[in-house]
Amino acid sequence: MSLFSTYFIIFLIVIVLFYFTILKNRQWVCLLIASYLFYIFCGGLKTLPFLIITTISTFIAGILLEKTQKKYECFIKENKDKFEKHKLKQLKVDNRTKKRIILSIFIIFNLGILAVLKYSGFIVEQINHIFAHNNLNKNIATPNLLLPLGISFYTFQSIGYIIDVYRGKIKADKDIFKFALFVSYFPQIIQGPISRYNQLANQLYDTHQWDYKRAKFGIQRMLFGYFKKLIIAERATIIVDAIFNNPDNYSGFIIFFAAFLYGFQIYADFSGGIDIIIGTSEILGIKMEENFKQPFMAKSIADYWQRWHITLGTWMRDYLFYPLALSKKFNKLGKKSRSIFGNQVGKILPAVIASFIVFLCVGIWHGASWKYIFYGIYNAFFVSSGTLFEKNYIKIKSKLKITDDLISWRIFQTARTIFLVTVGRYMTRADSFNIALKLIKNTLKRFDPWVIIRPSILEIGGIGIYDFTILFLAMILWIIIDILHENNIQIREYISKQDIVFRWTLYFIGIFSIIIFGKYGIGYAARFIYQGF
Amino acid sequence: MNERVIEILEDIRPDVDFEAENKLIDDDILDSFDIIAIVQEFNEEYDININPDDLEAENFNDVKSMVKLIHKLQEEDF
Repeated sequence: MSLFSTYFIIFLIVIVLFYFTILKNRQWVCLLIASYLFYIFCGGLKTLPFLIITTISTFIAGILLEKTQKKYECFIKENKDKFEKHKLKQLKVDNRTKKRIILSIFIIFNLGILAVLKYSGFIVEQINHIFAHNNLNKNIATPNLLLPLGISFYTFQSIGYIIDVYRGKIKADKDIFKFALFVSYFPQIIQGPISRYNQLANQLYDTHQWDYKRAKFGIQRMLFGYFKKLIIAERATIIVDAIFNNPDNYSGFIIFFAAFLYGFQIYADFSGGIDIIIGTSEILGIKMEENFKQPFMAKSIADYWQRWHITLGTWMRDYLFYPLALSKKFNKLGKKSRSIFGNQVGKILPAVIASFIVFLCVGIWHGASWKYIFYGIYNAFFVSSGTLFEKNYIKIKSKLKITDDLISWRIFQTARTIFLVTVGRYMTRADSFNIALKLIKNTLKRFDPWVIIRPSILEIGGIGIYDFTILFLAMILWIIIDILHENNIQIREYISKQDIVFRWTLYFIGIFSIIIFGKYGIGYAARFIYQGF
Repeated sequence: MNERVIEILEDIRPDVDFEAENKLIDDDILDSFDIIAIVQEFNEEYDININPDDLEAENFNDVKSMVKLIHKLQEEDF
């Protein structure tokens, strides 16, 4: 069952009916049943045990961590006066070590499952390459493992939970069934957003009353998601696939255009899915974290990553970047680097190295392939160099009399970021890193940006004037909406203040344009790109 | 302590008016690189150990909260 199928709409209507009527006092039970049914409908029964194992193991980890902490606190309370300061300090360190061991075991266990299922094929391939390279007559069979739906998302969400318990930020959940809902909550499990326990759990466990305005906003949000996915993403893919699947047949600017279009496609695809997930939750009275904030308006690559897949970025920041950059080893490294490179570079070098590791992980998170590893390094390079040379940039800017409020400078910043992001897209869309390099080389063969206004563009992938025009107009409309959002204009609030005729005319136009212009057919079951991660 | 903290902060981000801002994290004025730089300076200057657990928005949104965090960590018995 895809989020775009009629089945999903029927499924949602049934859930909403039960949720606000028969099961209104047991809404969380309704959601738990819905979540597991949804998971089975989407991914089948075979991968369900993996979800259950992660749920049970992280639930136990939470309980164990809290018990260890409570035991320590009770002991200290009763015996504080009996011990000297250094002994108390030692007890505190011992308690932390104990908790760290528990935490590490459960993180390694869960990441281990993810790593084996997601990366063992890639690792075996690399080993076979090494064998072949050294003329060894050995070949390990590539394992054909099932990849549970949403595994990267629910594993990260569960690990975030146990780290929060370890840090004492939240209390461990005592109800395994409620906790199972936190891990599996439909429809988020497919592609996020990666939620935090203190933000989501209580909302899932609480009772919510039916609210017409909230439901209306939820449906509008879902419609916007369908608009992005069915009108934009499913059309952009025609040109993108035609070019990226036939890297030998194209050269010049058209490849860059396809990479740019792919940026829009994946943004429409991923954020469209998130709109449906957030909209569905809104109907149910659950407010989810936003995952996008107009990434194509970003001023720099660093800014882009604060606007794109925000919940993955903040997860990496809180659970990987900060602990790494503040660790003793990195601290020592910082002191050493200061003596070698001087104060300016030395001070930020540990953070730069930590961010390299983070981006490498972000790259690998997307999939087991060299292209994602290079994609991570590519982004890390721009984020780090921006920070390392910040003071030099400021000097150059002041010499050129550029100020941040200059509109031309703002446009330049955005255009530069879109350009760099588009080059990065060569890597994520091409079948392999080598093909991405080949495509970059082919792009540079000739300079012909005018190719995008020539009629021949309509022949790519057989898109035709009808689909091309709709794609073009829909993209313009979406850009306008993003600009309005960037300027804090709440479109839904604005619409709700208009008179009934205007509002309903707009709703009908919205619904019918998705039905008429949406790209789907009988038995249509679109997959999200991020569903595969 | 306030003045010294502001001095440290202004050295890291000369473009921010630390006395006026009270949503340094919530409004994305400070990024994660700034936070790391600030933590390193505080650790050295006040001989404290700021952990990742302390990196909450409420501890870094304004100068007052940062001073409060430093005091809290200095006063911790063990």
